Amino acid sequence: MTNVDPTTLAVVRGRLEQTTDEMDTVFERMAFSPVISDAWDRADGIYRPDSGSMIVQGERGLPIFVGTMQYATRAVIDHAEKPRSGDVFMINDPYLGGTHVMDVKMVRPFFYGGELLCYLANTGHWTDIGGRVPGGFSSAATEVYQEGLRVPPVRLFSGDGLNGDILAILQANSRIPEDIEGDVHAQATALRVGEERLGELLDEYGKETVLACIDELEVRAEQQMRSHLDEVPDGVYRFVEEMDNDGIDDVPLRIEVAVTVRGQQLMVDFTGSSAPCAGPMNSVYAATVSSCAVALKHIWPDVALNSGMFVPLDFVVPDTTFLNAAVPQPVAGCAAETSQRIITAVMGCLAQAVPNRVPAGSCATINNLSMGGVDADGDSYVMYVFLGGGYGGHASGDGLTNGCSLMSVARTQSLEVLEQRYPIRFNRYAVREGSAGAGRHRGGFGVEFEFAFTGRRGRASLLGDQAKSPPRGVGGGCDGAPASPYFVLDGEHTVLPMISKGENIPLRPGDVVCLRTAGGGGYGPPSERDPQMVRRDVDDGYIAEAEASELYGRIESHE
Amino acid sequence: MSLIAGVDVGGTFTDVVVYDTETGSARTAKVFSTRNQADGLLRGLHQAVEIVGQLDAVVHGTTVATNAILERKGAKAALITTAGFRDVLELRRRDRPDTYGLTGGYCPLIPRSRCLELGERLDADGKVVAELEVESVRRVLSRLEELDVEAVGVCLLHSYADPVHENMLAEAVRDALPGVHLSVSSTLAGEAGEFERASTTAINAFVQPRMAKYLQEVRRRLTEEDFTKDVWVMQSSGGLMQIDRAAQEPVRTVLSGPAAGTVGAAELAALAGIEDVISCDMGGTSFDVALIPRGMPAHSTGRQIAYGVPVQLPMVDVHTIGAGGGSIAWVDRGGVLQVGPESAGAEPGPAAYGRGGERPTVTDANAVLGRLDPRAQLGTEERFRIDVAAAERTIREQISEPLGLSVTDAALGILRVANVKMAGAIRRVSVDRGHDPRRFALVGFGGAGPAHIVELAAEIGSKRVLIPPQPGITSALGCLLADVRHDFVHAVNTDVDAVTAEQVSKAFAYHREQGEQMLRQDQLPAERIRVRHYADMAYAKQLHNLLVPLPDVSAQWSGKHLTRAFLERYQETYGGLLRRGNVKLVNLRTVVVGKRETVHLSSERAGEHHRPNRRPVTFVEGTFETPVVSRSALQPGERWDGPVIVEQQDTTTVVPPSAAVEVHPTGSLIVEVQS
Repeated sequence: MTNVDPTTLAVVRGRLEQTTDEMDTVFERMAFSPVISDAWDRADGIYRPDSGSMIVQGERGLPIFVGTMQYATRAVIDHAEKPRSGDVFMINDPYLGGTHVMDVKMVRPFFYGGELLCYLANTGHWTDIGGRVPGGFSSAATEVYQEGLRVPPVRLFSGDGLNGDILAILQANSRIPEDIEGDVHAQATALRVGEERLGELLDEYGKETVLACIDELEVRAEQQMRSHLDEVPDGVYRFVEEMDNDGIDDVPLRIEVAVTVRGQQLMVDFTGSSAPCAGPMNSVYAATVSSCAVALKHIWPDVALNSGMFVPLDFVVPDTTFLNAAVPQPVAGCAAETSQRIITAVMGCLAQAVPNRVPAGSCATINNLSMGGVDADGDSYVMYVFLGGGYGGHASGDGLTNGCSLMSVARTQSLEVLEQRYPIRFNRYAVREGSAGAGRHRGGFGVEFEFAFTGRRGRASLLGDQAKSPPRGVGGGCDGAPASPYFVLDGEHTVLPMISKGENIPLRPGDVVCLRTAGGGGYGPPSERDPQMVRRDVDDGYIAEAEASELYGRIESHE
Repeated sequence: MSLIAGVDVGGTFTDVVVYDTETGSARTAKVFSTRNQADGLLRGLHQAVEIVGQLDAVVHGTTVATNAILERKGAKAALITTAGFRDVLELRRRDRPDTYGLTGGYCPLIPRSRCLELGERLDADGKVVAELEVESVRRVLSRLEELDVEAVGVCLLHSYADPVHENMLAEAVRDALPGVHLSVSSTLAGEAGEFERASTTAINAFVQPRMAKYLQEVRRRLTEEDFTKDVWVMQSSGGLMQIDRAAQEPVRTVLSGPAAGTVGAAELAALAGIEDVISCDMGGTSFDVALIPRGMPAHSTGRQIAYGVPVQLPMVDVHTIGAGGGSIAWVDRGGVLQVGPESAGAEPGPAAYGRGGERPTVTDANAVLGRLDPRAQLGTEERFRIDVAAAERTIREQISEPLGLSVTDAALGILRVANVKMAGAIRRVSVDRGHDPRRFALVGFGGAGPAHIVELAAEIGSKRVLIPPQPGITSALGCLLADVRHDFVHAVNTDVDAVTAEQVSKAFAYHREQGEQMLRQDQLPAERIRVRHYADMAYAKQLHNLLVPLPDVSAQWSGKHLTRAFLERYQETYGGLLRRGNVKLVNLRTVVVGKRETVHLSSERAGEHHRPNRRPVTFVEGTFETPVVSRSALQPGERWDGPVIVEQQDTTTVVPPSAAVEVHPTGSLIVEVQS
């Protein structure tokens, strides 16, 4: 390897990151799917030509895609014959390096001086690509075929020309064909912009130098990861997360994790986890591994995003578990639900090893709520919202209230805008009092999200979890409150049979939907909490005085 | 003759420029900012003008509101919301501070114990679905009294559609608690989006008592000096408002300084005949960049001032990153050189400032490379010298040795990495709006800007750079040059086809009337009033609004016309259109501007031409005996090939070997960049 000087290394690192950031920006600005343009459910990166492993990925990209795109690129490398300049391959097959079918990847070979140097790739969550329910989040799907159109690696563009036949197939399978066209163009344009920037970088520094920097940056990321692992005491750390059920059978799904740290190596082993399930909570291998990487990035945010961070890591994900799904097991819940519980499970292991670095358990479901039907004016509508909850307390403070999904950075829409668009009227959007796990540093609070239906008719579907096993406290901290959704249907207080999941629940005017999300776990014994902080929590109405004195002991009186 | 003072109070320095509008001569001062900003302001004024009472106007850019928010040091305020929604601030938009890491926290400006609920409800059309409950008003008022608050914010659901309940409540609060500062959401930011509106209202309530007190003190101390004429305050929009209005609506000043900088940059570029520019303000801790296409700074609404603290008001779209002279260089766990975002700030500052700084910064790298005059003082402060030895020591110990580089290479590396970061910010603001930054000239200012701007331009591929006559006081100059501005918004939120031209005209006419009335109060004659209309529009399914200028103020804007304007704008911005898709009209906006008396900037009469000094300065290309010229000695039209260093009181301009600089008749330096 050529010796790269430190300045060039730092500069090339910055330029590569900016290239992917710029791809992210172009993509989100041009996309038609709001979930991409507003919720930033997309990611862009650059990958190696032989293995598909990650050279760089944008820091603002959706975390869960950090690992998955390596596998998707690999699938394209394996399947595509003779890639040429200007080709763009499309793939959304979950089992070939994906999450669910709504996450569509595009992969573009990058040539420099006639040589295939790397691949540019991105992923975007398309709002609808078919399936039995609008948006694809069916809680009762039993096969991937019910979740939407599945696409193997296909050449969507040849020499920058769009293959209209493929586009026609995609559009014919979506409820919103015009969005498909917009998203295709946005995604392909982002790749083209990346190609331009990368070309400029190579012209400026020369191929040898840039490639040497790429190699070196992987070594450096590996070094960063190893230096952190070095500070983790050797040992085997175990943790079990239980998901409520798969939406079909009311049987808990176990995520059993053993994290083994030996020197500067870390292994995550999922042996002992539940078998593949009938409903849509299965996870594919790429998403499972990616979730582990996100957990580690949450613990050590400074580690650079490239494949070097994976070098000291090993994964054992038996295909006899629901965390390594195969065709045609349904996987709609993998990206938003199962992935989050994998993250909290891995963090739960490491909380035992490096308690100063890892927060207590956090809310790890987004309570996907979709609703469709006819409003009071007789117009049809589809509404899709999802919620946040409390993060765990941590060494330096209380957990965040109403944090977003652990594997994304998506924001909510405004309630006023939701009321403008859909036949609903909110009764409450509030801190869920008493939901935070007590501790020296308590968890953040979950929320109460309650609205009344004002349309003519509607059907609601809920795909959530964590109603049975709450976010865990650590080091003597208490657990947070589990999720507790309910409906008021025709005046009857109704809890769904699967509690957190249900499909096509009929709504009539005046019916109420109330989602109460989980609070974060506490960190350290409640008895060690600063009495003034307890006083403040009581004054702020976060917790009732009687309950506070029971949990924390003495409460400061007002001076 | 007219003497006008522009005063910009920044984090480190307070800049003052006093212009004589007749002769075009200017006097400047740069002093350290003080905890009580009024002290620095007065001290700076005294350095720039003999008798403060002789001034004709004072224009002020202030960070009082910004600091109160960032430090969470504001008033004991309460927020009143619709029942069921008192946690609106705390819940935010359900995000987290950083993509990676789950330990970030959030503290709302108003604690939950002072967020009170009120029985009432409107629907999304503004129709009353639950009357304002008299009993609950009574309860809220008595609770406010008990809490003994200084300020009250009111934000009820859908008040943008009809402020009826907010107005009734406001009246009740005024009657019951006459001394309390009151902020009403529909007045401040009457558009949909309860979190952003509540945040804007809460900020105003939180900073109002402190701002009012501060401005009163400024007024009092100016009066003591026999100055009783107009005091204007710079808004985040880049326009001015009277001091009394600033005391009422201080939330409009949260980006006061950066906005002033873009106004200054735009005006100076226009004078030099350059239309498309990007302003690059590099100070001690941050780098502020803004796109100014066709001479008009780009605006946006809803920007966050800090995590979870957005302001739903039109503001100059300034993108800020942590890269400044004080940014700290460090080596990460993987052995990679990094610069920032941590900054040594004003205290302790760079090692070279000799105020206790022990970590190497960008300024230290400049010092080591000979780019800063080792004998120079800082601003107009006395007893201040650059300590090159200290700079060298920190770089050697913390960068050179761990990386195995010479001190010189380490220093060059620090500058290079900092420049790459800033170039990234420039690309970001351009691409965000569909522009190619290479087409734009860069305007480099702020204390550290001129030292970096030429190499920065080369980094992004920009061909031309403008450096203002007095780069360190561009924001203060912007204050002088800015016009008076009032912004209005009217929420619509319907399908554009359902909108009639009459409706639009009515809303615009009302805005115009209000704006003209306010400008009359501001003593601006009718012939100086300019009106601009805009519409916030989007495809029905999109959540991002596009700000669509409606250039013809007298036109009838029917739904069809609006749609056409939207589609043109959309195509221009995103390079594509939806084949179908309904378009909606979200808000109508009006900007009413009162042109102030023109300030004729003339170049400083050049001082005596003298032979330049020389000193060794290091560039990527090598170390050269580099001519060091004094800015005041440069003559219009004079041209220098790089390398050359141009020194002046408040900053140093670095022109590397591959560039050439020419002095424009307006006094600005124009640099041609080889990239």
